[in-house]
Amino acid sequence: MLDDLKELNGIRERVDFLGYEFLTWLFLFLDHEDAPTDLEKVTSNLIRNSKITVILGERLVTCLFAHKEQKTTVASPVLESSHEVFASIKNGHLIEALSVKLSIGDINVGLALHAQDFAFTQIKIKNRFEDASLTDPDDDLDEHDFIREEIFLRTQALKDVERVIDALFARFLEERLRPKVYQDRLNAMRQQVEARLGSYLHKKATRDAEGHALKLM
Amino acid sequence: MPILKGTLGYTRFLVKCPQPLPPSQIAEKLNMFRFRPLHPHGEDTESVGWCPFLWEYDAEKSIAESDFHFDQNIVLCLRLDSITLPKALLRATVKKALSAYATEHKRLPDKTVKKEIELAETLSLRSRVLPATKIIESLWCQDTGELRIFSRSRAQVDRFLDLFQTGFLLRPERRDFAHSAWQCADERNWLSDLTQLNHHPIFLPPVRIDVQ
Repeated sequence: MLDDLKELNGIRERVDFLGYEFLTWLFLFLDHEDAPTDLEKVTSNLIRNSKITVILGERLVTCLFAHKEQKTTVASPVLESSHEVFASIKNGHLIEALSVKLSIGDINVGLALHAQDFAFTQIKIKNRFEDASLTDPDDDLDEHDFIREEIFLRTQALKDVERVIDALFARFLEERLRPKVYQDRLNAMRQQVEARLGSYLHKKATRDAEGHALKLM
Repeated sequence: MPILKGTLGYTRFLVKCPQPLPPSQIAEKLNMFRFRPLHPHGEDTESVGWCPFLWEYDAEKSIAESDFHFDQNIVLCLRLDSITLPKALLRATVKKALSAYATEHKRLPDKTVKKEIELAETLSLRSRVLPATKIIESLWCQDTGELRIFSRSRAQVDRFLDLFQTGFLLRPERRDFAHSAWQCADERNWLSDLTQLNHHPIFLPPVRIDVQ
């Protein structure tokens, strides 16, 4: 037990970058056009045969790993089409906090993940049992049973979310611990960032040229 | 009441317990470290302890099994009351009292009198200030050892962990990315790879020239 703790504390000091690398990996994983297929591979049969979808949320924070006080916050309804995120990553930033939306069967959950401590915040659970409230308890249940049911359902939703995020982290770790595989992944991520920035700059140049042509007319 | 409704935010922990504690034993431990309110005329400025879930503001109520035991989930509620004296107001009242003393006694107060006046004014002000209350909820699933503390504040989480360790004599382990990686690597015999891992940035940050 003590040896485990010593080993864990040693690892904790050495791999404090993992959370930042994982969230950056996750952002690019979900931004990729093959995300639905890749996600299915990771989450198939994970939770009661439920269909699981994970998409990017509306907010993220990036920072320089060596200077965490240098942060960039991006809030956008379509996070993946915001060039600021890709520009930040190109400038050496890693993602410190990332909001994602999960759908597990008929439950929708929005949350923010944090690289520093793996905390889950701003969790909003939307499902068919969310509308029920303590002021309108089910007639068949007394108050204690009703509270117990609420706690059970909300805890179950949290457990499901954790299982999905943990499965994604395990997938990241599997790649991360194999140097050759991760080197290929790094190259792919670099190309993805360059391509997304390039397409934005190309669109901007086309728009500018069109604007200029209109002015001349 | 994040456990029952509204937006949630929590930090993850794992508690290794040789065998699940029976609810009666948990109730006993919770009541042993139950929250006791600050006395209006006391000197303490902080009080911390367990309180019954959904009855957080009833300091008289003892914690019964039905207050924390919901199927396999244990709902622990920590109440933290603290009094913060408004320093500027305290300074002003002390100054006024010192000036009143000088007028009445036709001489300036010496060090001992000054201290007595300061203490009296501090206690008087303390009795008029209401404590600020923080409730920190948590969910402990003994079967899996998962402990979710519904707070991200370092200070609050530390207070919670202190009381948890003191009461249950169990040490919760932070379940951060390093812990998850360690657990995952241990299960798959990748520990040696994990210990040799180094940070590989996707892009290096641009080199900055320090003009100073």
